Amino acid sequence: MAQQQFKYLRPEDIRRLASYEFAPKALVEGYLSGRHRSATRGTSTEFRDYRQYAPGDDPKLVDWKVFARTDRHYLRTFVHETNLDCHVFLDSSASMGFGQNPTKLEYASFFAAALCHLVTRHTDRVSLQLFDERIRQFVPPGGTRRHLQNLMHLLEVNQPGSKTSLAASLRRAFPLLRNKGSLVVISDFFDNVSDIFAALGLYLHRGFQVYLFHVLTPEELDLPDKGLLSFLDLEDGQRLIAHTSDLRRHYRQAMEEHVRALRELAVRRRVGYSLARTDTHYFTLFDQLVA
Amino acid sequence: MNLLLTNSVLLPLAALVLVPLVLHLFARARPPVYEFSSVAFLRQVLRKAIRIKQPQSLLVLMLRTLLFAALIGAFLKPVFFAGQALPGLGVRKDVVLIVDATASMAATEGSQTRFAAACAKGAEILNGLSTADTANIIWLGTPNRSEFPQLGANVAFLKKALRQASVSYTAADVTGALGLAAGMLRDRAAAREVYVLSDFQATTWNGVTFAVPPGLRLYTVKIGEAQLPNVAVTSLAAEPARPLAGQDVKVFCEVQNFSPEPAITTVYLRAGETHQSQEVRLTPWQKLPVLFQLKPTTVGEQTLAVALSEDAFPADNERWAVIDVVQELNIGIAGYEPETAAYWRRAVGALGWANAVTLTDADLEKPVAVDALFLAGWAGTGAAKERVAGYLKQGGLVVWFPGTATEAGSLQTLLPKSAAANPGAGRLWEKAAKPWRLRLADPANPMLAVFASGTYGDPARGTFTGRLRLPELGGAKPILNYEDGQPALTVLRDGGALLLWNLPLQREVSDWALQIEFVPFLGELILHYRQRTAPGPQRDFLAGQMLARQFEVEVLDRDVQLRRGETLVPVVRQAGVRGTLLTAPEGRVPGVYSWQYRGAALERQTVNFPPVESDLRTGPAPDFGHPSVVRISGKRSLEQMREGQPLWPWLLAVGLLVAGLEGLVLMRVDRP
Repeated sequence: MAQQQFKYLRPEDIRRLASYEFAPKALVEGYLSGRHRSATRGTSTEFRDYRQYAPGDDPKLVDWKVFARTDRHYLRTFVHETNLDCHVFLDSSASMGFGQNPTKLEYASFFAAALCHLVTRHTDRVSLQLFDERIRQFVPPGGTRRHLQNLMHLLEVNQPGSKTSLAASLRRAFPLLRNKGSLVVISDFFDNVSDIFAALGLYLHRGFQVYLFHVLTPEELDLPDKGLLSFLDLEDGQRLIAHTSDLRRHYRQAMEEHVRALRELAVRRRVGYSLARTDTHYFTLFDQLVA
Repeated sequence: MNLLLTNSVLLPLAALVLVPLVLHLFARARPPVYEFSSVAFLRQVLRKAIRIKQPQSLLVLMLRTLLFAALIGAFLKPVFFAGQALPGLGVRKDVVLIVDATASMAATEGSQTRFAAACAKGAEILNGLSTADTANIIWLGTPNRSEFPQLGANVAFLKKALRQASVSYTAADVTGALGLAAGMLRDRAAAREVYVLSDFQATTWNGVTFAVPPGLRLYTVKIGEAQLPNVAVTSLAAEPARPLAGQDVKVFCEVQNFSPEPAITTVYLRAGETHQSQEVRLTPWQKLPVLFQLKPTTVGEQTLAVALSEDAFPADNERWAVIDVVQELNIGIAGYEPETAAYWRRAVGALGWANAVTLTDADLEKPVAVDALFLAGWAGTGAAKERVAGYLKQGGLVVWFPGTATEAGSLQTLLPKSAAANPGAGRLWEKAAKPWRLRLADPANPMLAVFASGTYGDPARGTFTGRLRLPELGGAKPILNYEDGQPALTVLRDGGALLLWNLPLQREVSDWALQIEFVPFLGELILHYRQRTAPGPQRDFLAGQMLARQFEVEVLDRDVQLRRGETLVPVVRQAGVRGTLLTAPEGRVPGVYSWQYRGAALERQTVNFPPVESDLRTGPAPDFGHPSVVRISGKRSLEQMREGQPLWPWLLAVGLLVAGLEGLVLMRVDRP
């Protein structure tokens, strides 16, 4: 992979990522022994609990000392160390095409690429889902180098699509994820906040650790004063003629309110939230993910 | 209200007022396209913002339109004429200027007097007249004087009169001047205008009413604004005005502070070679009497001059009076009862400082010019009655012994109204077998002070077997009474002093004239009750009053001169049946005037500043409660009225104000 250069995963970025490690705080569900603790019982050196023997259990797990004292069959269980599934949801709607050097989608792609690299570096698996108002691409979890190359290629050819419907996309994607793990949603979240969290509720209920990365350009956070403009919607082509001076103050207030609502709901639902300004380096976002 | 556009050629520019509206409408037509991530989000925001922005945008649009309107208006240079027809539109005018020439107009404000400012304003008004207009000037004073008998077209002459005019130092006859102006403009067909140019001195103008005739437009132009402080000498009098040489003379003068601030000034008295001064401190608005004492020794007319330290209004700082220092007093004695008159004459002759002048009936029919008039046995009838009453009214001393044949009703001739009583009927004379004695009715009377020590005897010594039975007289102050209370010598005041002499001097009924006290008593009586003012014609005038002198004989113009200092004052001669009356119509400047006959001084007269003019406080220009009266005040008001008020500076100011307001609105709108 070192010989092949990708747009969103440059050699210098890989070198800098060497000092990072992806280690979500939540327990994960996997099928390979790995670095991450699992809520399932398994084989490891760390004792977890006793449980009664049931037919079909491995007899070698029976604790004979307990049987000698109590005349009952109990099994010793150990904490199951497994690998991690990280599911990256990348908003590829038309609104993500906003911004210059980079666009929001480019910024999000850089971050997603680095994240995929970090995950796959330690035999964990990563999946990628590109969506707008529908799921445009879904790559199931994988942890191989080939898998990573596919993801990089997919990011490179990805273009802003049509409207955003994050909540709908999250609902549609839910059945596709077999193992719980980390869910990383990278989007501008121009959707109803309640709908978004209603959709995320499915994942949270199943035990996913959810991270939301709210990608916004400085222009979206603070509307530039450009006088009278005809605003053209990148998603649906609608036009709105308005004077920026008429809007700026209220827009800023509304945006702050939107961000605040997202942050509050995230805190309440124990969801990681981070505002990703495109004028800051995406490496800073890893602070939200590392242990 | 009339508005004239000076730059009316630029009137099409007024269409530019629509520029902001046009810009507002068309600027929204093709704004630059800006691709944005979520217009739906903006739309939500806009719905909230538009509720606030809509009125703000309309306000900004309105302010910008107003700004354009103000700027365009400034370019058009409109001129506003308030309350009058536009000039130069063929309206012919008849104009009367009433210029206040009274003394207060001599006050200096800034670099010129109020009068000079009034004349300048008057010239401005005259400059605004067209060749078809007529005008006249009335000089407000006493008397009011007009340049033309009627309105005339010779405006150049009126302008020259304004340039050459001077203050008359007189008081004002406001109603007379307004009436004169209204009379001049009566029945005039053109637009009738009266301009009153005055300081509207409060003491003169307060309470003045005038019924403005219909169709007459009255402009009251206020000259001068400052409330000038002033200290003035408001009166001067000497007592006695006709002193004997070596006699003490009290000089009374009053100094008044016409300002709300305390003042310190020095009062100087100059009388011949005598100079005196007193420093006085005056509280605000205080009138303070100042007393000087003189002892003139030189016989003849002597001028008293009282002056103050220099102040802002020097015209009223000096005042003059003339005293007549005499060697002896002239005591006129009319002897209808010869024995009493003879005793009087003899006693007067014994005084040394008095000269007894025997008066006949013919003398009493002419104006009486003596220091005291003794009437012995006068019945109070005949042609002399009016002269004697007149002499008394002028402050003279009349000692009247009615005589033994006097009827009760005759007493009413000279008695003041306050003393009128029921005199009864019949003769008043009564006799008694047992002599009546006298007693002092009022020992505290100052004229009896000299007898208090006893050196000069007892004036009540003497007996009487005959006397007049006088009725009770109201207001009478007895000096001597008979022991039974009947008045013997009674003072009745009515202008001068009337001494009712009930002390018969005939030898058969009295021995009082033989007493040694008789002569000093008579002398004290004359000195104490004699006329305080100088007898004879008026000598003190106020500025505005016409100086006059009556000559008993016919005199020629060239023989008589009137001088004020070295200045020769023109006189007007009026010959009459009683000699010649000379008057000086121009003798209105305060000062000392001297009448001379063939170079020899005859008499001095004084003209003093009218005290009412010393209070320089001005009031507002009156409007007489009439809607056609226009009040004009301030330096530019008259010019504005004539040439109109240019509005472009105001419009520019409005424009700047609107621009500032717009900035404020925009700053508030754009505030993050």
